[in-house]
Amino acid sequence: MRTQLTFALLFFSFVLTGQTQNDLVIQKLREKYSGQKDIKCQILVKVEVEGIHIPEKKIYVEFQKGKKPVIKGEGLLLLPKKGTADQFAELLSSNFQAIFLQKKGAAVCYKLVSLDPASDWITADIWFTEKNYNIIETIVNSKKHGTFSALYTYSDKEMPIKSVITFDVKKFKLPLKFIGREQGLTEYPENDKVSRGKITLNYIYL
Amino acid sequence: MKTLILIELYKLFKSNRTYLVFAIAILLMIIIDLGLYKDGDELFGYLLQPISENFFIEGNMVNGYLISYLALNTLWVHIPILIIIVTTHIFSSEFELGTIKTLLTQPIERTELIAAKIVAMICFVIIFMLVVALSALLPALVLFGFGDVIVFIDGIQFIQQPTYLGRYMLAIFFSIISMVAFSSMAMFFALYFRNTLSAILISIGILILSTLIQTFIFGFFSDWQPFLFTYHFAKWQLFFVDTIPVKTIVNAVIFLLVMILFFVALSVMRFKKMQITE
Repeated sequence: MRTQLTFALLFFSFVLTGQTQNDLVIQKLREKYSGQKDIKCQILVKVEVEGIHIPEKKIYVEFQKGKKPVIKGEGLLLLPKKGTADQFAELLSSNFQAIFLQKKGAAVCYKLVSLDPASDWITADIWFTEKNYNIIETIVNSKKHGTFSALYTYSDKEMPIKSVITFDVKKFKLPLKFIGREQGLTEYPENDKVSRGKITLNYIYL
Repeated sequence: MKTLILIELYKLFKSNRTYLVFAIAILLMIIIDLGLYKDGDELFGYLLQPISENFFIEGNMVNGYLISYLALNTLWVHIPILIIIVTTHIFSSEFELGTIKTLLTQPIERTELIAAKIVAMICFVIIFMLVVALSALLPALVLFGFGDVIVFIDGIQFIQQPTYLGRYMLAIFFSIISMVAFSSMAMFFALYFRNTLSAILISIGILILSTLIQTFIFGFFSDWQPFLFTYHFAKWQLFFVDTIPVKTIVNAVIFLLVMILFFVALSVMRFKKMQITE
């Protein structure tokens, strides 16, 4: 009985210690991004989505907490709703459970499980550097937007200078049948198939 | 020859029907402008729903350039019908008024007579298309302003504002060739039946049939598409594709030029062999 109790105590102490360490790491990550101010930047947007033909565009964007970003530029402007530099704070501000997954080199990976039924995201795998807590990769499963992953590149600054976002996208051929008669220049997958879209954002912070 | 052409143009622009057709075309453009002024944002909001799920979209979406592009969709049926209402009359009015006999007794080569009428027809098509192009563009720009154009061809094309006018002019130039080809066909029917109404009805019938076959691409008809003139008419749309497929457009132009030559040759032969007593 005594031996069993000793093992049980040891086991729970390991679990609790691990959880506390998890909490500390995530707390530091949260602190870093919760202090993030509104971001003003120029972004060079490159969209590579099947069925969308749009040239690269330079746009001016102001990300403000809890608000729709202010986008300015010439002509029609597209900015992805997910995977932009401002969204770390949004992700980390909600209520979630963090689980340590693995460590590779200087980076660690945690799985976040949302505990907020109102939030759009369900789970998120985030990779970040142990040294300065820069998030370098996220894979987010969301209710509205499917799975989208983003890779972030940093220079010496705290904010990413580049992000490459890939996501599920339903192909855009459906409405075309109603108004566009010239079809068939390119072969597309079947209507209900989901393909992957890729967007590259290069940031210059102002 | 020059005098003959001027006489044909004088007759053409003296006719009320010419001005009526211009008025209808301008009215069509005004209706398109008004319709989109009211519901344009809602319509494009719906069409761009798949994109707006993943992207924030900013900018003047329903702008003058977009409206002028949409107005070009009248090239499918409306504009060809309006054009042949006038161009068939150039040829068959002589029969209907009985002036053909006087005309053929004049010491003028028949080839010259019909050539003058063909030149008048081409002049009308050019002037009409320029009026259509300007009436589609200018009021729309005043009402809706400038901006990039979203085109639903082969996916979604975002045509950049600086390149739009060049593409628009090329599409109009291409459409002039298409409309001359269609008018040439109508001209042949006008000479053959010597009646404006018959020529118009037959031409419209062929236009509708060809458009229907092209629109409803059933397996049986799909191989026929390259032989349909409306299939080639529709290539004006390709000037609004990100990378213009030059080869496809050149093929369409060749088809239309051959069509023009074919019907002009038939019409000249018919006109030359025509008996004065017919």
